[in-house]
Amino acid sequence: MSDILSIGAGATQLYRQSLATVSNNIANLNTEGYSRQVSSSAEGMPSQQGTVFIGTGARLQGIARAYDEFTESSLRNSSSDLSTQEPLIEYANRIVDIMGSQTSGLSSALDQFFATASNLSADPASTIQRKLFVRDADALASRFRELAGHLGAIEQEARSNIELQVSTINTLSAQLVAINSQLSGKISVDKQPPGLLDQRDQVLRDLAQISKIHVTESASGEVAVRLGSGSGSLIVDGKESLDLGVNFDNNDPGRVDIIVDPYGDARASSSVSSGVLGGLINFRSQALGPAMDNLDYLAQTVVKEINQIHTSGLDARGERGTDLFQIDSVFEVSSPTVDSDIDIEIEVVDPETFTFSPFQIRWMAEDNVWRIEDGSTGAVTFAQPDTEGFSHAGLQLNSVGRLKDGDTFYIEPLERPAAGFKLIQTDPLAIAAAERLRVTASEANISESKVALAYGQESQFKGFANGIDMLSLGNNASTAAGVEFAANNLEPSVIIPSGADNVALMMEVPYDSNLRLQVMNSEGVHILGHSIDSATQTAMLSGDSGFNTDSAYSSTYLNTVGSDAYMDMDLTYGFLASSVERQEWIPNANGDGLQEQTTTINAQVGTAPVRIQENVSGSTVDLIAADTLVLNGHSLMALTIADGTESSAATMASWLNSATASTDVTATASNFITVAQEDIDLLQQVRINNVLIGGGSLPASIDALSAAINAESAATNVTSYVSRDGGLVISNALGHEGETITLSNPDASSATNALGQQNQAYAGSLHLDSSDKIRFTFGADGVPADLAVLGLRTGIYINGAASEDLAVFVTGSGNANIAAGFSPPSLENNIEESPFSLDFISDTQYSITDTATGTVVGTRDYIAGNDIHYQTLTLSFDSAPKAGDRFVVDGNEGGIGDNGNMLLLVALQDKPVLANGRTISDGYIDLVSTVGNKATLGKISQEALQVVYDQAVESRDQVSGVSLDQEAADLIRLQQAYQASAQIIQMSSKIFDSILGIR
Amino acid sequence: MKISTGQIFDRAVTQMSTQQSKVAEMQAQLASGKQILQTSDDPDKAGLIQRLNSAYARQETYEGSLDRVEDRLTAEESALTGTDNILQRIRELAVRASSDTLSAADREILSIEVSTLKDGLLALANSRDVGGNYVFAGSAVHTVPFAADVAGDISYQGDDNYVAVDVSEQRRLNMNRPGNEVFSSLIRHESNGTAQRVGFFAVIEDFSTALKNNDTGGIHRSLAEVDQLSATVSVSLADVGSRLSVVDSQRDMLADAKLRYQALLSNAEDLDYATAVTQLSAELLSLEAAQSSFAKISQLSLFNYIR
Repeated sequence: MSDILSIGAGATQLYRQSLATVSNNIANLNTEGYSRQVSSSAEGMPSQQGTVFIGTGARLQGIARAYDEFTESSLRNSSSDLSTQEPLIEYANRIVDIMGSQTSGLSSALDQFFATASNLSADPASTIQRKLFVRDADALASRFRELAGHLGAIEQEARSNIELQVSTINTLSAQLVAINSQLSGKISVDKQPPGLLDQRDQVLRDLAQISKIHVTESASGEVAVRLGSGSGSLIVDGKESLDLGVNFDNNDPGRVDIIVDPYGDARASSSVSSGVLGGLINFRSQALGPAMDNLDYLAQTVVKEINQIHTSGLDARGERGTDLFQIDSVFEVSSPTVDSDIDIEIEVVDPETFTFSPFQIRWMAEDNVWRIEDGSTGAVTFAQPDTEGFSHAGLQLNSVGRLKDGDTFYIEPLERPAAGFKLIQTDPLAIAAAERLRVTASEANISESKVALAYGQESQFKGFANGIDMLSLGNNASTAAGVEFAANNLEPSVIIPSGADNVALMMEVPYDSNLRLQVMNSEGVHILGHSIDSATQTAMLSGDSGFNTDSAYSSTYLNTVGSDAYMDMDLTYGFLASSVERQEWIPNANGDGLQEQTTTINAQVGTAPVRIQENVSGSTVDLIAADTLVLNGHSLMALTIADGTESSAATMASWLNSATASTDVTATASNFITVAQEDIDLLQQVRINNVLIGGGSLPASIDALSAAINAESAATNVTSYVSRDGGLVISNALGHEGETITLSNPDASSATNALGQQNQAYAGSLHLDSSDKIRFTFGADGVPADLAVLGLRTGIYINGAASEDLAVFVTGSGNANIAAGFSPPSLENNIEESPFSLDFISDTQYSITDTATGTVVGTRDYIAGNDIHYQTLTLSFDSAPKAGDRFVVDGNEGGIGDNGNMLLLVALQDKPVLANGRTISDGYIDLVSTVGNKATLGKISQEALQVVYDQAVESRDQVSGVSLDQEAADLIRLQQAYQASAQIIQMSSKIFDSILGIR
Repeated sequence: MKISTGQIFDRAVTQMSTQQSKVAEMQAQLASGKQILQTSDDPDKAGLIQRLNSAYARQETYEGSLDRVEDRLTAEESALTGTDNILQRIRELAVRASSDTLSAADREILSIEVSTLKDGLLALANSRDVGGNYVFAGSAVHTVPFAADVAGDISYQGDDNYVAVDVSEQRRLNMNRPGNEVFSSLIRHESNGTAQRVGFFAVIEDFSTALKNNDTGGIHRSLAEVDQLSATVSVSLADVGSRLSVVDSQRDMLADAKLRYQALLSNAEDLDYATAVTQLSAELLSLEAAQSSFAKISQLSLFNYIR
């Protein structure tokens, strides 16, 4: 009986609990993340009575969540994928709406700018049109800045959003750790409280929305979470979590680095590819980054192209145009310590020294200085501010506001051209509308020929085709650094490039060579060298080498100097050494400081050994004929050798010194033979100037050898001493300086002697000195071999920049060693045509004269009807000019009404200046539609992913969702069961009563 | 298949809000009359519209340039017509003066008239346009083109530049003619066989001097020379006339181009009301259907029947 009662009591308890579960389901109908709970009952253990087993009722086995691990994980994944698209679409659409708008986009500002330019081209003299042009140029600049500002704001917002998402991940990870530690108390997941598991799943779902995750569940229900896939970065493992951090690159908006454990073992994670965070990162790398970069590229191109055109024209004052736009640097100033109102004003004052390196400044109130720490090198400097602030790395910085000790600012220069786009020329009259050059037919011209000028043509002369560039010879004029050239009458050997400065091109030739240097311009004007016959001229000026074949050879400027020189250049062919001035600091008279002193160092040169020539002809001969060499403008008389004598440095020195009064050059001769210690061979003998040293006995040491030489000094006129490195120095005795020293060996079988030197005559060398300069040039018959007699090399010297490419020929026969010293041409390549005039010498020939120097730079044949190309200009004639006609190309100073340059600016709007041959407007529209297409693509993916997500939600709901109808049915079922159970109790009570009632 | 209660509500709400936003978008399109409200609606089409707008604006710029060219050419034309008339008069005087019946005194009287006419010519050669720019100075529009030096010789001070203006994508029109081509010099062959250039005003001056000096040889030469000058001015006049007619025809072409771009623009951006209104009704219908069906379905619950 008690069993009936206990069955009934157990059942009521079971159904009461089941009803509670259903009620809980109904109550949690709207609870997010709630999984429907199901109570399960189990049969009681039957009790054995004799041979039968009698049931003992039912008991509550457990309350379980209706849960399916796989639907849950597919829900998480699809939610990650879906939420990826949202930020991309939203932010990209904002960019597109700002940039694509008629009012705030760039297209309308560009159209307006070019329309105003076009209006100005129709009325270039109008001040009103010029003002409108300045206004619209300013509008274009500010439109660029506004767009950059809008993009910057979106960038900031996306950045904050990313930071928010990352910190949300960190919070959720911490929550998971807390849940994990609660779960760790039980061994089996079945025993875990369902609410706790729901909470865990909800946190995981939240996490999945931010980034795709990979979840591993342990038996107890604890989870380990990785970012992305199974191989991603582990962020939660049991009771531990790793924080995430994020890094941005201010100069590369497309770049976002997610850092795992930023304050511990920091490492980059690349596994965030979807979820809101993935979407934001995608937005930055696929839409925002390219948009900002492209806008910057556009800004740079616009500034470059417009400035290039503007600076090539002339303004209303007849002056060359200046830069119209400029790109300012933009600085990002942030401070971790300062919350008060302190402004740091920054200006780039020296663009040359300004590097885009970030730095940090801290105010040190005690010393009244700024401590400056360079962000990249870590170098620390201090700067004391004055009223203008202080300067650092080409910047001028100033602070506005009250500074406190320790106030620190981080300053990061941004390379954002669009944000720094600025109009710098605001003077309407300084707008360069006119072309810089004009061509005018002379009033006195006989022909009616009209001439038109075209710019920017590729120059007809494209550089010499043969010959090596002088710059490739290496900047070292010494013989040792020279390159061997074979003489060539047909092709230039070396090209001196236009703009090369302070050129010294040196050639070493043997005494008896006929090698010569010749310098020509591309028009066949012979500038330096020796006169040549017409056959050679034709051979040299070949079109294959790049010479203009229409030009005639001209020797007008051959070796001319001063104002007669070619292009008034300071040229020397021969040999040149100049005095130099040196600035020195010496103690001043008061002895309390230094003063600057300029010292002039004389022009000096030491020659190589001179030529030894013996005269056995029976009569006096000229080694160098009279008027062959010209020294400092003085034609030298003949250097003669008397019969039976030979030339030496000594005779040459006295020959040069005989002209010192006219040349201001003094010469001293000397002859030193330096013998290294290891060359000395004490087992051999030596004869100096045919005197046997030591009288046939071998000296015991080098000192003894030296003493033996000196013992014969009176006979040999040679002295010797032991040098510091243990060798010997043999030289002329006093009064015999520069004489030739002959070494020989009594033992004819030996080529060398005790000194280890070749048995031969050793010539002396000269030392020349002048207070101003030493300038050898050639007389009518002079050749480089004549200078070689004096031990000098022959060179081409250009003091100042070469006006154009010059071809250097090495003519004659044999090989020459050529070396060059120079200052390379400056890289700045400004298109600056020099004014010139065309003079028609006859109907078929004209000359080109450089106006500034009056130099005829070329004389060319003219074929009627052909255009004339010179520099980068083309002149075309409507009818053939006649002899005596003159056309002058010069600056267009008075041409206020000229619009040539403005037309070029207007033409820019149709010019394919961007990569892939796009115009500026096209580039911009492309940029907008590229970003727009990203959004459209995102939208399409979003629609597809929405379906997947809806399905996942549906399948999860099928398992875990609460349906009121189902619960209502359960309610009725359980209620009925409960009522029945109650009846059991009542029945058992009645039975009990019946038994008690037995009387 | 079980559908949870929460899902029934969620789904209905999502569907209705989607429908709502479609209706709102249609409404905004109808209110503005544009197919594209924001660039993000259709970036490619928005790009096309921007291009068309640019092209259209450019035609308007060309129209502005044409106005300016026409102003300028009209100024040139009137100056040239005046010049032509004066030269005709000088020619008449030259013809009369070459008659043997005239006395030296008569010729001197004619010389005074020629001098006056020369001043008239000079004034015309130094004409300005509405902007105050000298018409015949080439591009040096602020320089008096024909000025006398200390010796009284009048020479050309302007430059030889033509100023051309874009009047369409392909066409560039000269808006001036340098003064030395209009009031151009000529080559005088002397009896000794030499040739020299003589300026426009020098020819007239020489005529006046010949009249004053009663130099019949000079008068005959001047008659021929004035004919030459007149011919050059006529050529210039014809040139201006032809350019003015180009202006007219260009204007027509621009009007055509504008119309064409307008049609294209309208095609690209304007809303087709008939379609849009029909579509709006359809969207409204489905919104209403969603709403009423939701009202019905949400009533259903088993609890309603458990009493």
